[in-house]
Amino acid sequence: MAKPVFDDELMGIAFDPRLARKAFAFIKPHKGRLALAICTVLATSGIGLIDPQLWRLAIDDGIGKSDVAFLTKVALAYMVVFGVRWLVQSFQAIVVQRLGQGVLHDMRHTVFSHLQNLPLGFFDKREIGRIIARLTSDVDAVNDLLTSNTLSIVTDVAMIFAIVVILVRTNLQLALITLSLVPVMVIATSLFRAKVRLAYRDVRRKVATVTASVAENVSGVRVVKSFSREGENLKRFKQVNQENRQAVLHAAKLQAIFIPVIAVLTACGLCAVWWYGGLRVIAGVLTLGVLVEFVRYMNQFYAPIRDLSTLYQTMQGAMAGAERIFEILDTKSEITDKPDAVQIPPIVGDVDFNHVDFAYGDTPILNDVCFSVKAGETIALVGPTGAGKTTIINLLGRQYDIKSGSITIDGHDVRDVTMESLRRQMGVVLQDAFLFPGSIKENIRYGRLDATDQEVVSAAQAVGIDEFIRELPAGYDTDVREGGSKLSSGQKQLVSFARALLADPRILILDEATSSVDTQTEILIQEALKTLLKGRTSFVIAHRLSTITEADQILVIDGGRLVESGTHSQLMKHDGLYRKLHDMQFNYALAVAEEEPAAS
Amino acid sequence: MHTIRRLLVFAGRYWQWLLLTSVCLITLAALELVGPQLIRLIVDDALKGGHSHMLAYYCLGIVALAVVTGIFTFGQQYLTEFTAQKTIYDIRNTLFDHIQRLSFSYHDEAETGQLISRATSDVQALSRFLGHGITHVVGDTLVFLGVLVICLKMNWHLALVALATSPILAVAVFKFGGKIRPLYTAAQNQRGDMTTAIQQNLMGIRVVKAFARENHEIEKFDKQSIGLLERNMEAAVVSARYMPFMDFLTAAAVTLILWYGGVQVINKVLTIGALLAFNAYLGMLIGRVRMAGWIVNMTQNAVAAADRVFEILDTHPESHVKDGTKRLTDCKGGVEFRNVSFSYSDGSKVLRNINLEVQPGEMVAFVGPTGSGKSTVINLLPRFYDVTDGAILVDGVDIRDYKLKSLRQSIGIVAQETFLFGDTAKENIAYGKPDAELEDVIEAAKSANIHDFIEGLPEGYETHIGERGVNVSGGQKQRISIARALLMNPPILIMDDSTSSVDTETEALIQNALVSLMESRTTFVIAQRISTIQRADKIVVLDKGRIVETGTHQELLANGGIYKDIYYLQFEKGEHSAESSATDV
Repeated sequence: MAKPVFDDELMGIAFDPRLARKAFAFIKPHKGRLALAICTVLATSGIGLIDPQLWRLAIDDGIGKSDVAFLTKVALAYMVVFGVRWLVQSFQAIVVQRLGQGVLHDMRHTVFSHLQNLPLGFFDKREIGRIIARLTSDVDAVNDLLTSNTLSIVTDVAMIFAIVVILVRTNLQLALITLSLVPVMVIATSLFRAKVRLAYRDVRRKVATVTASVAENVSGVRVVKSFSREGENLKRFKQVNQENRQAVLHAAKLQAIFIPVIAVLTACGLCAVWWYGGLRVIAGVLTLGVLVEFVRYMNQFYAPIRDLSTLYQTMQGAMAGAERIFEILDTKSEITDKPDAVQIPPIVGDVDFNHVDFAYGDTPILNDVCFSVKAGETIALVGPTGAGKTTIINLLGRQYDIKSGSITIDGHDVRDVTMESLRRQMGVVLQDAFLFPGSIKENIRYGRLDATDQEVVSAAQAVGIDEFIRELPAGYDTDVREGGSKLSSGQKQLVSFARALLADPRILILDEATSSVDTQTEILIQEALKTLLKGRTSFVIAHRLSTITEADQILVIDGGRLVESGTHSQLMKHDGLYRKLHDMQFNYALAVAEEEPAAS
Repeated sequence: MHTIRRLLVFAGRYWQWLLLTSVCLITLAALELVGPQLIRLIVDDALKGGHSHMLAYYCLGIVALAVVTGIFTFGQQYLTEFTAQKTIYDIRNTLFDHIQRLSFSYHDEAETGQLISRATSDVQALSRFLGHGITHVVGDTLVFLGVLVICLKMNWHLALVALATSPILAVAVFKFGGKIRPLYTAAQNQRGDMTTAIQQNLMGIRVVKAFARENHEIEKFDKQSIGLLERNMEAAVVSARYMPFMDFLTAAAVTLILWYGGVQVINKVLTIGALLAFNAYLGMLIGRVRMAGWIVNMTQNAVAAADRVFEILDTHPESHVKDGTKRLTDCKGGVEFRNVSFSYSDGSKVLRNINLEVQPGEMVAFVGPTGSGKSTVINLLPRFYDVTDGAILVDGVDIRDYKLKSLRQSIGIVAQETFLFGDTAKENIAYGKPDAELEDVIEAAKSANIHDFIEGLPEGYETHIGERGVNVSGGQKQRISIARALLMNPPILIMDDSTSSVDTETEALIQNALVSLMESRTTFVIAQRISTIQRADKIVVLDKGRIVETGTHQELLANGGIYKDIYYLQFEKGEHSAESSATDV
């Protein structure tokens, strides 16, 4: 079962002003909303500050002076003040949420769009789950920094400042007593918080492991069942689950200590204020109303202090999230359109590779590959696994950029034209047919979004899948489900054929596309392909040499080099690698046939 | 309510801990009621009543109370979490086990993303609820009742006035709960949908790029993302309508206390200390009311999450039919399909009246066009689906009478689509036999011609492969999964298209290894190439769910049926290349 290393995912990092500035760029378009949000939050807090004043007035001037009329006025004022707060808060709730959600959507959109334009190499090295986390939890963490943390800093600082001013002006000694507790509170909070944070980081790590275990077991459930691994997997999962439980309990224990400690500290403050203030009231130098006012301010005072002492740590988490998001955003799509890139005119189909070198990172993949293809030719790429066949095809669609040399289509260097116009005229059918969730119709239409239903059906007919689709419960509207588990891989492949056909590409690429189609279906497809290939340049990768003997040109690739090229008969004559591969395959078939002497 | 009761049944196993937690909760509620009395004593007794010498004691009382409360708070919080985690641990294990025991048909229908989110984030929501929610529900109710009793005893006039707004408040809280619940569910679902959308996009990124559909994908994603924004805003609008209103109602109650209580103090019916105590008690109520909104949310969320979790748990595990009782040991490998028909749950008929007898050690090849039912036939044997009609017998016994585990352990499967787990190469090969010795693993790897590749990895057999490990090509994956099946040394072997994505050289190597391997076991093969199938003892030609031909290679050729057509089509091509090579030489 998965034993993932999640540490790098969960490390909080120190506040980095450069990173923060980059993150804050996301809030720029929402400046107006942010300002509005700050105003409403300040207003709500400000209204809270009126409350102790009203209490003092009520106790000292209303009750103390037995003035019922004045008391009634104070009570009415109280109603009005809180009526206003009601309205402001309703407004605030919407403004703040809209701000947060807007920023979130922007970030998701930016990251997702950027991902779409990253080269394939980026995805080869990363697992899907981690990328999903960038678009969900990391984005959430950064949003917290940008919106709620920002709002709380502004209001907390404003509140603390306002209360200190009021307290000092009302009674200096009592103010000093109240303030004396602040450093203790700050130190206790930040110390505890640091520990609690570490504990929760551990919890998240353990939760992530649990999630990974569940995800893997769900994705691979067919294998799990085939091998009757249920018992063993449950045993291992219990272990992971147990570790998660212990981590949660450890964090809970710290939290359970922290809360009472803060409560006791606050009680000490209250005790001191009531005692000293009480003595002053007894001595007649302080009114009861002022004392009550003080106590009420104290209650409002410690909360922002606690907030601010934990802010730094909250921010660390957000910074880590921001760093991971910018890791994606700062990955330049190495492959970009040149500023003066032009649309490639309708492709005729001449393709030239001129001394192409290509390296994947530091690993050289292709070495000095040269060949030239005339429009309408069918080119077969042959060679052992890892020889570089798929790479050549990927380079043609400019999924990667070459190191040196050039690739031209109809004389246009692929780097001089827009990728969109280039790829739109190329059709690719991959080895693993991937269908998106949705109906079969939608999947075929993916090839050309504005195709009519009739065109979709024609494409399906051309590849011989129409009849099968019509027999499905909902015909063309049948949902292929996630991964298309109701369709056999041969059927999925046929759907992906129809998809490619509908796109009516000028250059067609078949990457091992027929390997999982049964013989009869393959024959159907071969027939369909013959008409399809007519008038288009096409590249075919196939292990089964029997399928490619009719190619106009066979390119034999080995170790990143083009070792042979020519027609089937030329290559057979040449007695090189192709001949060797061919004989091996054919002899094998012969050997089997020989075991059955009566065959044919 | 029903859902919560089911949840509590899970927690009920730890009733001793629940009891202890309750003791702490009750004590805490009682302690909380003491605080305002201290304030009353300070003001009325020490400040106004002339007992100024008592002031210091009362003040110290505040600290002492906080200390005692602290101790109980710790006990209560820790115990609650302890019980909650025990419960969640159980729920998680149950769910994990249940999911892996659900039938193939269930997994065909279910979306992986949704299933994962239920087993993780929904359970997480339950964990929060059991850890904090229940405590609040119980503790807050106790404090609420305590405050009510004390206030009524202290001054029932004032108490009634202060509580005048409560009925409206109660209605608001209730209505709020009812309105916000579906909105939170919708938001959660939308989040799940969005995650699924991202996952699908990333899985199909090659297709996206091949068709230059980036902008189309961005548009699709934006719809999801904006959908989430909208769902959250809908919830925010409802919150904005209710939450501040509830706050206002509590503020109104404070005003009433201040005004009516103040008048009573002026009329000497009430002491000023009692008024302050009253207000402190009301403060507790305010806290509870604010919490109530949050608790209602949390409870609603938890109930929604629990519903989703229970929905899975309520789905019958595999096959609806009970596990058999017989252990399949020393399986000889005789298999019989007796009048087998199969339809999917939606009624589409896949297999009709399949009759087939296979002797131990025989090799059976299934041939037929795409969608003819080949994969279904072999999925029925390990009971991934159960036959709709008829029966399948292994060694003369209906497979439904065997213990499922023993049946599957006797069957080795090399599936068409290989799945590697995020673990070491060794663990992946030893998947069906976790306690296998390394030598045996190496042996299997050698037979599958993957040993050299694994040896060449940075850490050999300990190298992590799969999603987050070293990249493994399709052909290598295939060979690992062949090694995985070989290690099991199963009496019955099923291979679905197993060699299609391996290159010529490797295919020849694997085929050679497999020839000797198949000798001693019953083998079912689905392969596209006739050359692979030719040496089968029995070739079964399927078309539209029926067996149209059965026999050996020669028999079928002599028959002159579909098989002959397929064979000649394939052979012609082979001959074509043989001819050309002959003439070329």
